[in-house]
Amino acid sequence: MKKLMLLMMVFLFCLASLQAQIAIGAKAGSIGPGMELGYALGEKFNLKVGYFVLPLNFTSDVRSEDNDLDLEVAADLKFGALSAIADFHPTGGVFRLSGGIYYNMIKISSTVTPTSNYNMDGKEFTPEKLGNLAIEYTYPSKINPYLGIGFGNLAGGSPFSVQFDLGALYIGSPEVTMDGEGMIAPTVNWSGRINEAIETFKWYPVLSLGFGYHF
Amino acid sequence: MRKKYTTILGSLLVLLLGMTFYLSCDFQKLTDLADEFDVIIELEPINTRVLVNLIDVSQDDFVNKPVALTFKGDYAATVVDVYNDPISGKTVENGSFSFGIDNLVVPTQEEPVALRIVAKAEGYNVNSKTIEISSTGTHAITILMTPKSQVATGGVTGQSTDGQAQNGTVTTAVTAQTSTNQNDQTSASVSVPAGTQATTSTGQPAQGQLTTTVQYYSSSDSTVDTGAMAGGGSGGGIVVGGVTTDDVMTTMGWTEVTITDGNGNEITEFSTPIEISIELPPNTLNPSTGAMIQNGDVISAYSFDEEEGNWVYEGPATVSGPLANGNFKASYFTTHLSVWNFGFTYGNCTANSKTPPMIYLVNNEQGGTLTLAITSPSIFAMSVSKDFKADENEIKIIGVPDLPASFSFSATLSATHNGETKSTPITSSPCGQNYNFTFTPPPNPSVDVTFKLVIGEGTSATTKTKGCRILNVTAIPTGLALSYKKDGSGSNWQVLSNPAYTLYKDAQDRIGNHFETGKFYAGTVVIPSLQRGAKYHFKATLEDKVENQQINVPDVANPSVNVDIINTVKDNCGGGN
Repeated sequence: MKKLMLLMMVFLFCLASLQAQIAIGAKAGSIGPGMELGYALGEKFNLKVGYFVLPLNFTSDVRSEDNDLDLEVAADLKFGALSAIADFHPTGGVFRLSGGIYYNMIKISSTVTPTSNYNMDGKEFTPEKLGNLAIEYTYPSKINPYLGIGFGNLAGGSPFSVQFDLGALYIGSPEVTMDGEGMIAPTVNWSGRINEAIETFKWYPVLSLGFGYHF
Repeated sequence: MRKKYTTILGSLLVLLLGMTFYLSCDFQKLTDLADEFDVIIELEPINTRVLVNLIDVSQDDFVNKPVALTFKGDYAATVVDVYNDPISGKTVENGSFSFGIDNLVVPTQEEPVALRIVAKAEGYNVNSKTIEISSTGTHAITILMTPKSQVATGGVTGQSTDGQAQNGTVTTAVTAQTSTNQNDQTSASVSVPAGTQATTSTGQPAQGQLTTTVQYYSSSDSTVDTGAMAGGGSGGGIVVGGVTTDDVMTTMGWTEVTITDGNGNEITEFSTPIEISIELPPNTLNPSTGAMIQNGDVISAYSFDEEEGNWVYEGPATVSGPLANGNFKASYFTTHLSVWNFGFTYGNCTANSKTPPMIYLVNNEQGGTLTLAITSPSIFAMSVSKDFKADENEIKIIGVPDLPASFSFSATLSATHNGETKSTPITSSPCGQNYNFTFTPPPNPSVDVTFKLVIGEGTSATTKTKGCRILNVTAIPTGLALSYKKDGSGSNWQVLSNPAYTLYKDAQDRIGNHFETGKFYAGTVVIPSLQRGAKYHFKATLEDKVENQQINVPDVANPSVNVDIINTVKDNCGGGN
């Protein structure tokens, strides 16, 4: 009986200590809104894992003046990531350096569909004949290193905190793939130049603002 | 102090991050792209294309008069133009025309697409040719057009102006006979008795002086080329009782009769049958009786349907004689004029559960023509020809008669490639047989020539002006057929089958805006094994638009030449095409 009580007291003491090191946060930013779970490893170090997601889609009507053609662009964008980040507070205060890994779940795709007739050599071609384009934007690697700075100590200091992050994710050169059918299909020949133009965009900016609470 | 240190460190890090992001990303390239980008709209590619070359046999050059082409056969409805719209025919102005087969139809060896093309032109005999397509890609067919005024080798002709017609009634009988063939002493004749009602091709009654022309070709004369027959010879597809069969027609002789009235209109129909006859030498063997031809024998008469481009079995032709010159006469009574053939019908190889002959080629670098010509002494003749492509080394010849083993005949199978003809004699039925031809390897030095395809010439301003750009920037025009021929006789036109184009995408000739003056290239294509230092005629055909060019292949290794193709570049800067 005495041994059981002693074990219970040790367990409760550990639990109380553990709870004092766990924190949760919510934030929104360029990677999408999401939640974080933090764990303090002493006064200057925190570990955080997070999940962010932001699905978006929109449709827009555009006009190709040179081709005298109306087009509908429908885009399906999904921003999001899983993160595993380590925070270092060099002075023990709110300023921190952050680094870690993101598993990016960014997916961007769109379709381009002509909505008016097209005239070539005196003949009219309907949108059905013109066809459509499917465009996909992908990153070469899902696992991306992150480096940044921030303000706010999620798992230490005051129970409530404001979290601000500014950093960059190295995602590698993105790639656009285009697929087309119908008369508009030769537009896929642009993919080479598009990929050339976006080749240098290897960094994804991370900017977010949120709040946290630690137990 | 701590706060100041934190502030400085934080600011430096923000600055570092910002610079890293800004300097590493090429925003200018992206902005330029956004300015230039636009959708490209082109005709959909056509997977199976056919290039038709119409050659005037008297000039050995392209027919430069309008030729009306019509498509016949079970797959006629699959013929499309460059816009993928179905077409039933086309009038061709410059001797060359390319068309496509609907992409929904995929020709294979097991299920080939057979198409008959009928060609008609003013002043030329109607001709037709059947093409059998067993793969996608570009195929070629040559249709030989013989001027009506021209008599082909071995033929004899005769003319008469004795006949007269008044208001559609023949008032003075027509009798016309050809001269005598010097080799076998035969001739052909036509007679239209007085009182016959005659109607012209315009539907009007015949009027005035009747001019009758008869041409005759005897298959007993070995100089006669049966390939010169209408329809390209007697290949399969004989119409019997309104049904197109796979039977093969042979010829003992064929004749073409033309009667024009005083208004220059051709008479095509008569109210009562008129007699058309050919003479047969006395040593002619009747294969149906096994004996020499004699009075009362029956052979078959056929007429050429100038609308459908095929031969129609008309009925039995009675043999009478011997005539004073010892020949026999085969006569048929008909109410219409056409090209008439007298001969026999045989089943083809597959009708007798045999396979058509297979031809195997070696060193087939540029394609050519296969011809199977069969002559049976004193019986009949026939021929069938087929064009083959550069990469086509196993060829099946359809429309070959399965001749009985008891027949004594001689046949020659020949293949012409790049001016070289190889032949092999055949003395038994070619059904189920394989034949090999090895051509001479290309002469040294031969080179693969890179052709830079010039699609237009820009004269735009060299500075970028909003709204000023090359429109309809394309790759290679869909439906384009490239063909070439080495200068000199004995060389056939070759079509570049399955050309592998490489698009031009370098800094000067990229897809997109092009503001520089000078030639605009769509891409390149390589033509293998051309002769260094030789002159070639080059032709680019896009439907009925043709670009002709003579090119001298440079006498160097890895030569590259420009070739103009159909211009599609448009320029709204006030210049270009």
